[in-house]
Formats: sequence, C-alpha cells, structure tokens
Amino acid sequence: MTEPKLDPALLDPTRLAILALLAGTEWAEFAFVRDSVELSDSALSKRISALSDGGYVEVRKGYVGKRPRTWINLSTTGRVALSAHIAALQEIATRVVRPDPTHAPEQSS
Amino acid sequence: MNTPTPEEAQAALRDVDRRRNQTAAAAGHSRWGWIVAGVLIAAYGFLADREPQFIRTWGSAIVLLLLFASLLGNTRLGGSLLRRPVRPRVTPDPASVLWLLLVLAVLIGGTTIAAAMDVPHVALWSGLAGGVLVAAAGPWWQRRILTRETGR
Repeated sequence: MTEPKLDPALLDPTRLAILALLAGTEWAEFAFVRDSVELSDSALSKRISALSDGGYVEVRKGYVGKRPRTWINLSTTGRVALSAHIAALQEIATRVVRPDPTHAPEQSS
Repeated sequence: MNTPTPEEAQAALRDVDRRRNQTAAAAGHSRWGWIVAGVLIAAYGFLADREPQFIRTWGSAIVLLLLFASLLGNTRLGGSLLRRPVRPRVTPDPASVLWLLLVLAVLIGGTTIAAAMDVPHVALWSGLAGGVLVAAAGPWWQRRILTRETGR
C-alpha cells in the first residue's frame, strides 16, 4: 500500500489549525487567528513567519486609524498543500473503517 | 516523518472541521444583524407606500449608501471598522445562485404583477415580505454558504 502524501510542515497541529482557519477566508486579522488558536502574539508570529517562509501564507500590514493591523491570507501554494494534506489524512482515517482485508481475522461459524 | 495513526488522523480532521466552523461563525453577521436588515427593508416598503415623495427624493441615496457600506465591509479597513475580523471566501455555487435568482424573480415579478393589477399597498406588502424573508431565512442562508465544503 502506498503512503498518502502528507505535508511534513502541517503535521504540527497548530500550523494545521492556522491553515484550516484561513481556508474559508480571503483574509483574516491576526488577532482573530491568535484568539482562535489560543496562542500569544509572539508564539503566533513565529508560526506565521515559518508558514510565510514556506510560502503557505501571505502577510499584509497596515493601519486602521493610528492602530497597526496585520492581515493573513492563505496563498495558492498553502491552499493546495492543505487540500492534499487533508486528503491524505482522510485516506489514513479510513483505515479504521476499512481495515486491510489481507489481515482480517477468520470468522468462526 | 512520523505518519499519524488512523485515530490521530481522525482527530486532526475533526479539528480542521472545528476551525472551519470557527471561521464561519466569525465571518457571518449576527442574527440581530439580519433582523435589523429585515426591519429596514420592511420600513423602506412602508415609506414607499405612505411617503412616496420621501422615497422619490432619498430612495436612490439610501440604496447607494447601503451599497457603499456593503462594499466597505468587504475591505480590510471596513472589516476592522465593522468589527468583522475575517472576509469569507465564497466560491460560486450554481445551485445557490439559481435559488437566489428564483427568490428574487418571485419577489420582483410578484410585485410588478400586483402593481399592474392595481393591488393596494403593493410596496408595503412586498417590503414586508422581503423583510420577513431576510430576517427569517438570512441566518440559515449565511450558514449554508459559509459552511459549504470550500477549499477542501
């Protein structure tokens, strides 16, 4: 049986959570992502930097009035990687429902 | 690379679904927002029926203002001002578009036919019907659009 193609970067549950949050958005505010994944500003910044370096997300900074704001969006690369990772997870998850028939126990009558 | 066990994969998928619902909840308008929108539509119909001169003078300006507010709400700046922290990604769905067009056709067509038949208080009744529809079906419609399988 061939192994599903998991993305090593998305095996980290927090990174996967960040990308899953962004999947349904065009963009999200930094504060929304921070509160949703329950991380501190600095911890989320590190995660976002790593994801940005990998090309998974794009970061835009700006101001609303005098207050600085950061918006994050999933890049095309990130969206493709997330879809492939989720498909791989689904394939692994179905192994519980559909066990390998070659190793099925014999039934006694 | 450690491949997750089937149980770990299922847990990760459950978390992905949970995150998707979190985004949908943040992206949508509250039930009160839909109720206020419904009341405004009904009020517009009431004014069009009772104060047609007011609507002739200010109707276009009101519609343009609402359109501007709607467009502003979709920008990063407007989202921050309206306390909407995410902009949902809505992918075109032919079935949803068809349903929307059908409902609009029934509302607009019904109003036009009723006006042609000189039914009294057409604007009032159509405003009331539109308002009730938005207030009652809006949250359901929004939930349906935002929790649709997107990007998966």
